[in-house]
Amino acid sequence: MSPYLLIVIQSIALPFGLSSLLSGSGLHKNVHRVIGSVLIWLAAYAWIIQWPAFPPGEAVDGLWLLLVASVAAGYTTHRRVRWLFRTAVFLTAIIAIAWPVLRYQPSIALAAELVTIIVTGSVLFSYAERIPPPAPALTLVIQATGLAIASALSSSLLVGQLSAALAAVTGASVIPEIRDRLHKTPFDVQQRLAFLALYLGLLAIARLYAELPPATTALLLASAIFSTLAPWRHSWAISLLLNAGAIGLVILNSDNNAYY
Amino acid sequence: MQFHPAKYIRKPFIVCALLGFAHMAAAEDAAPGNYRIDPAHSTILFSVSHLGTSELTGRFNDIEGSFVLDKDKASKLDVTIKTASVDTNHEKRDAHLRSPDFFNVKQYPVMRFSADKVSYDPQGKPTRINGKLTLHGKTKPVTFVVSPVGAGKDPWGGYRAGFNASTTLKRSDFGMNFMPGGIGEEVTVALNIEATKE
Repeated sequence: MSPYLLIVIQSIALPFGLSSLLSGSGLHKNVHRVIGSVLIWLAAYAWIIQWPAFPPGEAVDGLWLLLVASVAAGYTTHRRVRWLFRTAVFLTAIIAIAWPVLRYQPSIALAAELVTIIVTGSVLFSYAERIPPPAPALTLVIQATGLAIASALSSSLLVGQLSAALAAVTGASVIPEIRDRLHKTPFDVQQRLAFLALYLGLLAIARLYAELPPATTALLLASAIFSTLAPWRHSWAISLLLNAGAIGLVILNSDNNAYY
Repeated sequence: MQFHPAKYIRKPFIVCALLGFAHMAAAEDAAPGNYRIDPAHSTILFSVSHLGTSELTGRFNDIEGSFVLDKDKASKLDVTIKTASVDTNHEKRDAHLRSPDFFNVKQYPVMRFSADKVSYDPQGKPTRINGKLTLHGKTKPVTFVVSPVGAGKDPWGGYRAGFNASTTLKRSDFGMNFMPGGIGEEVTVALNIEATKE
């Protein structure tokens, strides 16, 4: 099999296909759909990275722990406890992701970037649960696709594939959202929050290890903030523009031997 | 067309170096002792299959190390390579190799080969080095086949010895699993080492 075809199957066709089957399976309970979509992403993830090392050796090895713990956090009883649990999981994950770089190359700039990501995550987790944003699946697909393309063009196809798989898993929920003219969504709020934590984890890995440019990272983060906090039904269009800008910056910064 | 030597040999140090090498006796066996690897005259090369159609060759530009060569006593070798110095003559590919997809240089900035067992032939020439390679956070036993190149006094009053060594690794043994279809599993590694006696 061509390696390029394999990449498409692993990161797009398999997660989108299984996720579409899950959507059409008639599972009515949200929790079943959430667990199903998480398992689909985990299957794609395990295939892409050829099974994660345990205990985690690299940042990408721990992504499944971040996702599973974030899902578990979503099923605790009180909203405040959920937020605390989810934020604690996210804080731990970001510090674990950054620890090797903090150990070898600590800097104030790095610390500031990490604090920005952690604070952004904790604010978004709180806000998105209280006031569910419009078209959550569509905006997450735009964000994850933006990160996938920016990361693959920047230097890490691996992070690009993992992010593309996130976009593909979420993609199956976009069709009903569009059919209902973005008034309703089948995308559960706990599913969105768990995948948002995963997205921010992938963004942190791309920034710290794959040298995603700071301006691109800032635009991608701005897109995540905007799509959660903006109350308008068509805020996805601005999210799309921010992601297009982030990709454009990577392309502008590339030299003419971008492909090999 | 007239030949102008000055056009081709402009820098005096090149002339000195060329003359110096002419004086160097390179055929003798390396003398026992402690050696420090000369990074300017040593190369770490690797080659791996690309899409099953060709062999891609790269190198690491930042190496340091030392070894003790003594058939009758304990011989040992210690080489440290900065993974960020990977160079395949293509900037974009080098950035990809430095990323988490392969060497993940932010997390694993160095790889290290450490050996304390050197085999010698009856003439006292080193033939094999058995040691441990730490790469990408994993440590595995590795054996290099050694072929001595030469040794002798250099033009600056020192003593130098050179060796070539090679081995074949499986990249999955070191947790470098990404893109199994496009990039070969086996990686050939060649060390071309020149060292100065301390």
